[in-house]
Amino acid sequence: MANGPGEIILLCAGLIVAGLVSGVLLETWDDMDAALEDRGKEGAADVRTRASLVNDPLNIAWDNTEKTATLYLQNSGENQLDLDTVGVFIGATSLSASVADGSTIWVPGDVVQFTVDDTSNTLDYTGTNDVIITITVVSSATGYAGAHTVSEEVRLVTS
Amino acid sequence: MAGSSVAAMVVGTVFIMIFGMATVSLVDSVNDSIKNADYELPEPQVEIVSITDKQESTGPIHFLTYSEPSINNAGSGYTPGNTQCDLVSSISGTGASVNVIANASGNVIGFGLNLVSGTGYTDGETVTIDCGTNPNSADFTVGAIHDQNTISIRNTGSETVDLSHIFITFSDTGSSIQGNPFAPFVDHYSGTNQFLFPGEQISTNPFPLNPNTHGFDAVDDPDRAFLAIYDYNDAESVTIT
Repeated sequence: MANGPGEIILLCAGLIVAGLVSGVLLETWDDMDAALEDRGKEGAADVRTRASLVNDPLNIAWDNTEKTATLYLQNSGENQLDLDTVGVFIGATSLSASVADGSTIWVPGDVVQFTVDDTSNTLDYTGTNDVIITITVVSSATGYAGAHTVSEEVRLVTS
Repeated sequence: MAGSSVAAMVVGTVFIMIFGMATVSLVDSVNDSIKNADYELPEPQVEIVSITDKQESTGPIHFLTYSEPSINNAGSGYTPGNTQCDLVSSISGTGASVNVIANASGNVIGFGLNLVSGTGYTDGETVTIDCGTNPNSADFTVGAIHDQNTISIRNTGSETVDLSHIFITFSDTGSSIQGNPFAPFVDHYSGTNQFLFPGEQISTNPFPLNPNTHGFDAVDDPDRAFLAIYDYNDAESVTIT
């Protein structure tokens, strides 16, 4: 029971301080919640984004004059993939990847043919060469775009 | 109890409720994140049981022979010069044609190179030449038919598989030439199945190789087949007879 104006002032002051602290805590809590939700959506997009190499890795033809190869990639995830955002590395060299079969969409299960081109003319392969090829794909979902990277050991054969 | 104490209790209760709701929301978000982290994409497993490359009882025409008058008829009424004409089977063949050469009298004297192989023809059968003013009066003999490939697969996993997601690529290991991936159970399968259930095994119809579809011609003999479905692969040697 409040016994005088002094205690009422203390009570009010306590409530104000508690309210301010609560406000800060709730805001922090809200930020954490939003961050977790965003991360959850990103994780959901990532885990449903996947592509797999369809070529027989035993002998993938490499054109050492044009510095190109043909890769077939299957959308093995559950999101539609972006045909224009495919990244390909052979070893540490980045190659450009362009659609070679006229595909305009890349839905789950579909195989798309890509021509990969070493535009920097860095790679020089003759005969057979075992290399590691790294492929990155990005889903074309709006909002959160998942990404997937796969590395495969393949044998490049120069004709 | 004084009014100020009641007010303090009410405010305290409201704070507790707000913190409780915020906690529930936070726990939900954590649970959703964990659920996403635990999510797994399909992992189908399909294995090649066998792949054969052999001459079937019928098939596309590999080459023709013409021996007139002992075996074949020269007929009459054919347009002098070269004309692409359909070849009519007496058994089950369809779709074949060839560039027919006729003399000034309208008798067939041979054929050119532009053979369209068709399908369903029998080795050694007589095919009549369907053009001119007296069609089918002349004929050729089927000298040989092309070998055809048959693919059998089995679902060895625990998941049902969409047949259109299975791709095969032929290779010739001797020359290190790799063909194009194709969907055998879309292109060469006449059954009604759309899915391959766990433990189920199916085969394609016999089919000749085609440069556009497979990256090899009907006369080629690729000796390796590579199956790809999602992250699962299998490879087998082709049994060539």
